[in-house]
Amino acid sequence: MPNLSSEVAIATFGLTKQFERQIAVNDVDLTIRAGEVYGLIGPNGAGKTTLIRMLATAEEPTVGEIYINGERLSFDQTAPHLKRLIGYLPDDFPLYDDLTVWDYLDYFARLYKLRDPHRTRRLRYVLDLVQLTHKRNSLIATLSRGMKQRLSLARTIIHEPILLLLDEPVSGLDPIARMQFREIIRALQEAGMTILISSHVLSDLAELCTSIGIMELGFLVESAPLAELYDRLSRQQILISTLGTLEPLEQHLKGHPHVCHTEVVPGQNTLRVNFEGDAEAVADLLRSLIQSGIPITGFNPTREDLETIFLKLGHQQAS
Amino acid sequence: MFNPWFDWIGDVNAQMFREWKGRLKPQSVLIVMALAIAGQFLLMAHFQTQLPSEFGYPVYFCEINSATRTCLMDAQGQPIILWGKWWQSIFQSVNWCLILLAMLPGVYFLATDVDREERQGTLDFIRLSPQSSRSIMFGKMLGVPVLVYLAIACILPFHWYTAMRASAPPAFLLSFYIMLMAGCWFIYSATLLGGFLSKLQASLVGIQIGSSLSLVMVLVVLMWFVPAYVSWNLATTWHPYTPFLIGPNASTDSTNLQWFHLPIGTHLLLAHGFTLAVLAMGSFWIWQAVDRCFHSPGRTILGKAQSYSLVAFLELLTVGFFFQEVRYGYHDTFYLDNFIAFAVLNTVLFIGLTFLLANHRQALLDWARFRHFYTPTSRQQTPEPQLPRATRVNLWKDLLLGEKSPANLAIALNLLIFAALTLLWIAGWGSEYRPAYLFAAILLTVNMMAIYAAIIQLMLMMKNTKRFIWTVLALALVMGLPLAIAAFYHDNHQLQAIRWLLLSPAPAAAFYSGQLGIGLIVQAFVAQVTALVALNGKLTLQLRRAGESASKTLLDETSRRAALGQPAMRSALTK
Repeated sequence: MPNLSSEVAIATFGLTKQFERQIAVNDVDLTIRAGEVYGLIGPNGAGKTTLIRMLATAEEPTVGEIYINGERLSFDQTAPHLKRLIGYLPDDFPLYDDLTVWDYLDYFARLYKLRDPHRTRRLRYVLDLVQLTHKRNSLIATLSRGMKQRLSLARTIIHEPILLLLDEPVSGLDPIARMQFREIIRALQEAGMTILISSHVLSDLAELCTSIGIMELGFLVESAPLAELYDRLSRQQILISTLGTLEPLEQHLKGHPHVCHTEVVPGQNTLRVNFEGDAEAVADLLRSLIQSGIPITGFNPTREDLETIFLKLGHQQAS
Repeated sequence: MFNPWFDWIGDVNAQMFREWKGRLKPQSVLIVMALAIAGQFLLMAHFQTQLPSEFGYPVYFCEINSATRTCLMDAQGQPIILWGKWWQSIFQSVNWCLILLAMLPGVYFLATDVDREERQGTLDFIRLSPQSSRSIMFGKMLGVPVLVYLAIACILPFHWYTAMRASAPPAFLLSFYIMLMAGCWFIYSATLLGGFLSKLQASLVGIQIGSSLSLVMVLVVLMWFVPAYVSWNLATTWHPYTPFLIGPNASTDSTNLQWFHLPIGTHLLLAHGFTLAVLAMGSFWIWQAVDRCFHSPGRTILGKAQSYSLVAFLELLTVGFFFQEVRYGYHDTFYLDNFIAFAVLNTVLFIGLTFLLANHRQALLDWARFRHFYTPTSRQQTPEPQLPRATRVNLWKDLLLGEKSPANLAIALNLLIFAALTLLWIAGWGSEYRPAYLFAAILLTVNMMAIYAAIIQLMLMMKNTKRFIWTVLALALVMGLPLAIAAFYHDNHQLQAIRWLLLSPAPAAAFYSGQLGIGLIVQAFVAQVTALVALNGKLTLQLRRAGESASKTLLDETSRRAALGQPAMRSALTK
């Protein structure tokens, strides 16, 4: 029994999965701390789904070990108590079309051995959370795709898992359904769940995640807190606009210690400045520009987003 | 419908609750009850038409006037009806209706349901729940055919009434229900196993069988299981009651069927105990297989460790039937006849066992590539990692007990169990038949079985997705060809015929010939051992290649191409 800290929700060691002679997941060592929202990104075929399926016990690893909450996941035994800790939402979500929304959730609540009155309370809570209370007596066949997706999420969390594995949960959803989904994930995170989420929609992940893992060709090539990734890989840029000519502005910036590079934004009276410095340095720069009398009309600090970081790392992300 | 009692059922078995809830809709319940009751009326109406009219026809159920071949009339001019026979015929029909109703629609519904859940992927969610496979299987068995059970419940009062009118003894009714339930339990279990394996079947034959699986299962039950099961019961448990199943003129004589000299053909209690024990054991093994397939669909249907006890059980079961009293007196080939029958039965059994036990390509590739891997010991990325150091798995132990290793050695050990039990059986014959010849026959038979097993395991390593079909074809060729050649030489070249017969699925058949000498036996033995070495050598080579790392494959490929003056290929990695 490894002495894994109780704060670690998931730990994998040398996790490998081979299909034919193709290695889908290659010697992955992954650690996710309790309470994190961990985003898994990577191109199609990078091994994200296989990794998540192995963590969900839906796929047996070829070699390697998985620890959930410090306890080794055994594929020889059914490990019912560990299964209760995990909620898994695959990218496809087959449902029973002949059941009503309530009966479907009731069935899964019973499969996870929830007893009344707790079961009924829980059903009401998750229906409210996924905003399907008004559809509780509707047949599943009559629901829209977004509703079915939310119902699947309700099924995934009905037994109060502490670890949620979501594989492409927003694929195929319209912007409103995606926003609703994001809100639910945020509520679940606030409830203390550890969430591993794979998605091609990096803007969503940037909003939700505390850590990011990047997979390519089966390898986990990057795994770090989002803030660290930004610090390490994201350049800060400031768009500065002025009323007059750009020359005085360029002159002023030339000797500034935090300014690395400037370029003129074509067609606008604006400079794009690559800036290395913290928020205080940004404020100092703005103050010095105003004090120098340059007629500043715009001062807009930005950071490169997750997608740019991902592309900069040499990966190609389908979004 | 939804009351505390129903809710309690749901807490006890969620699967059964879900099936009942989905199926026991008022409309369906009313339709099934109406159909069951209408069926009984139709049956009665049909038998009503079989009663003789005032003209003395038809004559099925009346005293017959042998002169006119019409019904005998009483003083009132009414035909003398044999009411007992009439009710017996109705009872007989209801018995068959119950047997077919219990088995066919039940099997169809179960196969369709599990196959659909497996293909849609909904079964995966059930797998991920903390429910045991037994609980799910039990729920499916009691839940999916619930409308069939309801129909049977509607027929039961009519069945009891007809039994009473037909003067059927309560002992028969009790036996009928017990054996019907036991048979259904067994065949339903087998159906669920077939359903859980539907994905595997699709991968084996390279095509999605889909809903036709249910029809295949129903056909198997109709054409094989029901006739075999009813025949067995008529010969053992129900032999005094045969008129209630196959007509008033059926013989009620007992058979001389024995198992290790236990008179299961004559002693009713023994017959019931034996049949129920065999069905219980059969169901136990099926549930073991379901347990494996349910939680890990990629595994072999049977584990190697399980196979040894299963083979010992099956060998004891089958050899027991060869301990029969010699009814028609001793004759020259009596022992050889028995041995050949036993050996052929076992060849079929071992081929089936090899298919259950043999790993397919992916498992063998995994085993070849990753068998030597240690469990990782310490990783810097993990908080305070202190993983235990794993021990290297012993190769022999892995081959005999491992999940992903090739099945050849495990089959060899099972063959040893077969050979040991056969030797014990033959030792009981004393020196009445040439023991050395029988020993040689066992050796040649075991070798042939090992060759078939090696072919199956080798063929299942094929890259072709239709590897199962190719394996069956190759096996049919290897088994059929020597027999065909032996038949070709039979008239003119006796020695050639014997030579080929020794390499057939029944080498012992060659021992009938007076021309068989020690030289031919040695030749056959050498040929078999050569084939075994070649097949196992080929498998070892393939596994060794599969075990090479991708980088080694790439390097080999690159150096090969460099030697040929060709550019290196990235695709070598994926070979």
